[in-house]
Amino acid sequence: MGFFSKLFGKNEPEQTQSIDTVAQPAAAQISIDTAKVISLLGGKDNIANIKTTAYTRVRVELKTAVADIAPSLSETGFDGYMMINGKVFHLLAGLHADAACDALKAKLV
Amino acid sequence: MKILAPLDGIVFPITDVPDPVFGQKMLGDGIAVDPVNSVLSAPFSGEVTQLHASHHALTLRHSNGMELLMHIGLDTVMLKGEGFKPLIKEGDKVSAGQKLIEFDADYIAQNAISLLTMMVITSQHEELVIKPESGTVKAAKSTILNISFKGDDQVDEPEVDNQQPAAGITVSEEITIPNPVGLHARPAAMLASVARSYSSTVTLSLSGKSSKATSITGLLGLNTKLGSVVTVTAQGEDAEKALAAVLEAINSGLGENVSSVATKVEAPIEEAPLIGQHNTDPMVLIGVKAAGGLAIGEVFKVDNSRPDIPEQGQGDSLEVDSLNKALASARTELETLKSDLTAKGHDSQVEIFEAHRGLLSDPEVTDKTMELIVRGKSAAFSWHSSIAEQVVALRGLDNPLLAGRAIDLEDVGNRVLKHLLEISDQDRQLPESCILVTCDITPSDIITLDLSRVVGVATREGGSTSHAAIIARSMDLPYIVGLGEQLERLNSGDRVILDANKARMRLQPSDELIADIHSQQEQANVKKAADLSVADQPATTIDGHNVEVVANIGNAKDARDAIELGGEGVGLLRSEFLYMDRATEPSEDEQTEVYSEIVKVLGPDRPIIIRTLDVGGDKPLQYLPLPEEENPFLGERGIRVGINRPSMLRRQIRAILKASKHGRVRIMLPMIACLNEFRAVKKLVLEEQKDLGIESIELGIMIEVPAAALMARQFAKEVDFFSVGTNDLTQYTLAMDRGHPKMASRADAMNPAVLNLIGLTAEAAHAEGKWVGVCGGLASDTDAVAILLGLGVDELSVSVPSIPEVKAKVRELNLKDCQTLAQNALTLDGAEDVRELVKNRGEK
Repeated sequence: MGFFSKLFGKNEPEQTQSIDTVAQPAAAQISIDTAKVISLLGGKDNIANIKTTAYTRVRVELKTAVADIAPSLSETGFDGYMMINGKVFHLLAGLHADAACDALKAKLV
Repeated sequence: MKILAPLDGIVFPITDVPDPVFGQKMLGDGIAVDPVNSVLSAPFSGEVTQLHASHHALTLRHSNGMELLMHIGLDTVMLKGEGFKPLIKEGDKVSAGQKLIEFDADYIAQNAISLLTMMVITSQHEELVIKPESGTVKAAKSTILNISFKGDDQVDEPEVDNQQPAAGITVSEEITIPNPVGLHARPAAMLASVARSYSSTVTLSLSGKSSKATSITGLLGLNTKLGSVVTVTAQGEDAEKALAAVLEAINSGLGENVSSVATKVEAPIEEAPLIGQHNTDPMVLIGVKAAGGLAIGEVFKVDNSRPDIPEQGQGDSLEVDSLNKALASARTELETLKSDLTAKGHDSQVEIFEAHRGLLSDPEVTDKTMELIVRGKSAAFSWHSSIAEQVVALRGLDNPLLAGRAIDLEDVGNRVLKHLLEISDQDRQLPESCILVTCDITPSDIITLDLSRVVGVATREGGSTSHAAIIARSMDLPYIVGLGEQLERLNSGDRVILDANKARMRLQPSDELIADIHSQQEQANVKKAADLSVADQPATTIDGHNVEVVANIGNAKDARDAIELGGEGVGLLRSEFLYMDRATEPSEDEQTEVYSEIVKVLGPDRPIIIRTLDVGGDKPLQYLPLPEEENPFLGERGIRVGINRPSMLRRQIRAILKASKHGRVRIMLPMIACLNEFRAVKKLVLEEQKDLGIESIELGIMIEVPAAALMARQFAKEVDFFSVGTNDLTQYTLAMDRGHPKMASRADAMNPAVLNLIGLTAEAAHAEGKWVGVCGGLASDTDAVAILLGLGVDELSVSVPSIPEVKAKVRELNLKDCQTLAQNALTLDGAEDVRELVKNRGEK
């Protein structure tokens, strides 16, 4: 790690592009670009709470509101999303909500 | 046929829905959507044949007979309607794309198993083929299902019972539904599958409706609830077996856990609360006070039943003629009533009957009446049904104020009806000193009562804030409402005591009790006259302590009356009167003029405290839109409104400052909780004082919020005075609504907790050389006067009529004794104990 990136806490570029493939016990799989989702939601420090809810959804609560994430979220692997307000989002993952939620949570620690 | 998506979202195969009722197609085949918007719209044009009581599901019927159940979320029936807002009613015809139900997606997501919304075809069709779409859909734009079945495109009325009566026997039995929310989709589906395995026809019926046990939508349509008693009938070869199986299935809960509720299905009985007054005395009826007072008399029951109204008319022109005559007579009557009232100075009542006159020409009513007359009905029938329709509509509104006006409309309706049917009021001969007992009473009826005969009124229904109640109060007529079924225990001719102050009625009182009350009334009258004769003398205790007794007023007339009765000033001018019942805010000049007029009535020496506007979400003003709050008493109320909208407050402060040139004006701020609120307003007042060149004005606060009492030491350094609003202080200290029927008797300001806060306030005020008054209801309660003086209260601001009585009370007291009494009161356990202490002391 170079001096400047250490100083400013920047990650190495190749690490930000990682794609996590979440294995499902069943044949189906879901690919979520977790890093992209988190950056769309204002970075990991902006995420106040994240949980699976209503069987098919990952519910994310943010500390400060973000603008509508519509255009880019569709490219992250989720089936769809619902903006409840600027601070609460439901990310729809069908039968893979638990797996997707775990994958996002793993990125937060 | 193509069925449109009812939501924006992601299509989800029905077989993936994690609930066997849907996943195993127990209700029928269909499709699910995981929504990303929050309003369900109609997937085709049709009729809403069923809307579930919990508003989470509905059934839509196409003109071709197909029925589609739409069910938002899983297990959402348990939310009991929370999070759902239906935009349609059962029976509505809707068009494709029309919005049906709004829902709170985040609430449902977090409180139910899922938000998946199922669409299931519940009607039976031959050769039904369903082709679901997949992927993302847009509500009312994308197709979500392609359906074809035999008989589509034909108008096919839903199954009509034209089968031959089945052979075999008929058996039936009653059963109580044990499911917590009745037979909703899941248990209905289970029941249907049980019933299908028998050849007999099984029918469930409840209050006139019946359904085959095999029809899920029919079962849903029965609207069963926990505890509903349903009759199950089976007819056919295996009727006995089928009945037994269905009964057993219902008893077992149809897949729901009902063991916990199975035992508590009997009708709810009214329980005796652990504390408070529960009526155990069969000789006492308890109602709600509408107008205070005490009366002894004979029950006179009036049956509100309507006279016979002929339905058929005798030709348009004749009927229209008699309607016009009746309307004209009613108008004349109301005019006479109004001019009588104006002459007596009852302005507020004049307004009520002015409004009645307006209702006579209300197009909603007259158009409808004419329409019916043209169709051959009699004028009386047409008028009566038009009024009745409006009354029902008003009562159904979710607005208590408008619902309360239903009785006004009914009143006008009856007035005209009497003319149409040529009934005169004269045939109702009332006995002497009677207590009128009836279902409900209209303002017209109450105002025309012969007070030489009627001494009190008691009604089954009615409200304590109705127009009739307002009129009864101004007539000094004891009146209680809300007796309900207890009314059945009263018969014409029964002798009763009506104690409207305590909202009760005692049946068959003994002669001693009556004699006792008569002598009490007499004594009270003598005392009242005596108090009045010395009303203009100061209120000084035996040991020479002077207490200022001032008045709570709402306008200039009150100010004049207060001085007449010995008021030494005004402790509270409620400025709301200037702001209420108008379309725009009163201008600064208008306010200045009105305040100045009142200040001039008091003259240069008598003090007057003007309280700034005290409104809130519970009593909004037309031109001051306050958002509807979940909890208006903890919301934007009192000074908080002014703090959030300073320009309106500034105009009022300027008007008060200008009026202060005419006398001794003080300003008081309502609902202060924190010091920074006071400081912010004080800064505003100082700015305007400087602008208007006014040297000084006293600025005080009301103590209504417990926080302000607890912080009185800090406040006392900065305010000029305190005035305790005991009504709100009690409500906020005890967290009990004074208007709550079950709480009102316990929300007593004599509670030591409240008295302690008053004591703290007084102590803090005196430590800084400031004074403290009480302007709430407790100040007018003569039983409380001694304790208030003992706690250190310097000024009592009371209702205008009670000024002489309170002054007289002060003159009986000795401040030293009051202080001992107050200290004792603070150590007691409850309001009853404090009242008991005061009472015993009086008897010594």
